Amino acid sequence: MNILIVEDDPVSRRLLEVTLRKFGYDVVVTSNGNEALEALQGPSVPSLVISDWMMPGMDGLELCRNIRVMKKSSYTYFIILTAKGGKEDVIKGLDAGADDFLTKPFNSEELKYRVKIGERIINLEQRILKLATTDSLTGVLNRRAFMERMSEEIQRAKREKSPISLILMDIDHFKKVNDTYGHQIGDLVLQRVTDQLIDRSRAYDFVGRYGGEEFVICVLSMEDINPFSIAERMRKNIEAQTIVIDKNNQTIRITASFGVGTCRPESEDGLDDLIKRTDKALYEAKNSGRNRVCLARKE
Amino acid sequence: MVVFDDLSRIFDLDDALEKVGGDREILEEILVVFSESYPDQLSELKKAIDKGDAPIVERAAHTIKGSVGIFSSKKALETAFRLETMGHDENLEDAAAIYSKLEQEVEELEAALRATLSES
Repeated sequence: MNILIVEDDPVSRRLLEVTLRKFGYDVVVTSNGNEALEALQGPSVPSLVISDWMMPGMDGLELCRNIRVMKKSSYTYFIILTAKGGKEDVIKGLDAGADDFLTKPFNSEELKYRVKIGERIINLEQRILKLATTDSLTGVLNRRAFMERMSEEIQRAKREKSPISLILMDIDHFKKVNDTYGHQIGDLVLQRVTDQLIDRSRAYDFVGRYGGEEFVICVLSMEDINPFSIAERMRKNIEAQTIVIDKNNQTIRITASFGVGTCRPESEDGLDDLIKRTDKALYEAKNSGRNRVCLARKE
Repeated sequence: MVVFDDLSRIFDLDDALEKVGGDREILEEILVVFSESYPDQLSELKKAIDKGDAPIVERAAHTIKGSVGIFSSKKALETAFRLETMGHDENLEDAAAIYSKLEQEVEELEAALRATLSES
């Protein structure tokens, strides 16, 4: 775990640094609030902050409030340092959003356990977040998480003046699979199909389960490739895949239909419009014989 | 050279060691930082007292209190705390005299820490 230290006094700062390193943590050391905020923008963002309260410029309380209003993908656990017999009011610190406080001069054992408590909460939060955003059967994003991320990406694409695309996919005759082989095989098919979608999407694209046998893929920045060909690759791979369904090596094959819609940066379309258009294209693919990719009309 | 009849009156080595989990090397390492930083911290405090800047007196004394607290120096900690309180209450009447006391105690502390931690 990565810990951010914010302490203006060099002696206390070094003590925190050597103690936490001794306990095996990675440590980022800063001496004021502005440096700390900068460190929290970086790529490997610390998840736990230990900050002194009284500092020149931005104090620990203000830093904590600033962190709490930052839009971050994961929680920052904040421990504020107070002085024994000091004038700081612990309640005020907790009110500013601090999770815990530690009185200086602290004992290294106490520090160790306070940090462990923080680590436990951070890990719990990450597990809950994962559970809340993942489709348990296939491991891809669930519908709500996909939509949340997709609307963020649409905003970003518009800011960066680049197009963004949505692929909607529906497994053909999935009900028949369930009816013929049972739901366990149906689940297996969903998992094998997901493997193909992940395999054929690029590192910065992301896949979600839209509902039952329907999946969604967000295709970002298409300078090098167009989303139609990505969908076409997915379709071909699914068609070519044989799925082993029992011990006797009985296999089945399935196909899927795709709709592809693009949101251009100059368009005023939002996520809802994009889904509507793409859904129509998927409907067209289904209606014109399935196992094919159809492009949505332009906005 | 300063001769100490009783170092324990200046700081409590056992207590300081307990706080760092018995790791003497940590104390030695932060002593180096302390030696480098306390003159600036004292002079910041002194300037604030001369200027009558109570909020800076409070903060600078608070910082020194934090440093000397790590080494379990009860004497220096109490004196720094007195100055911090005076800054907080915006009453710097005796601050200059108490500062002299603190300066002496901090220098004594540093010398005592050096003498103690360098032996062995």
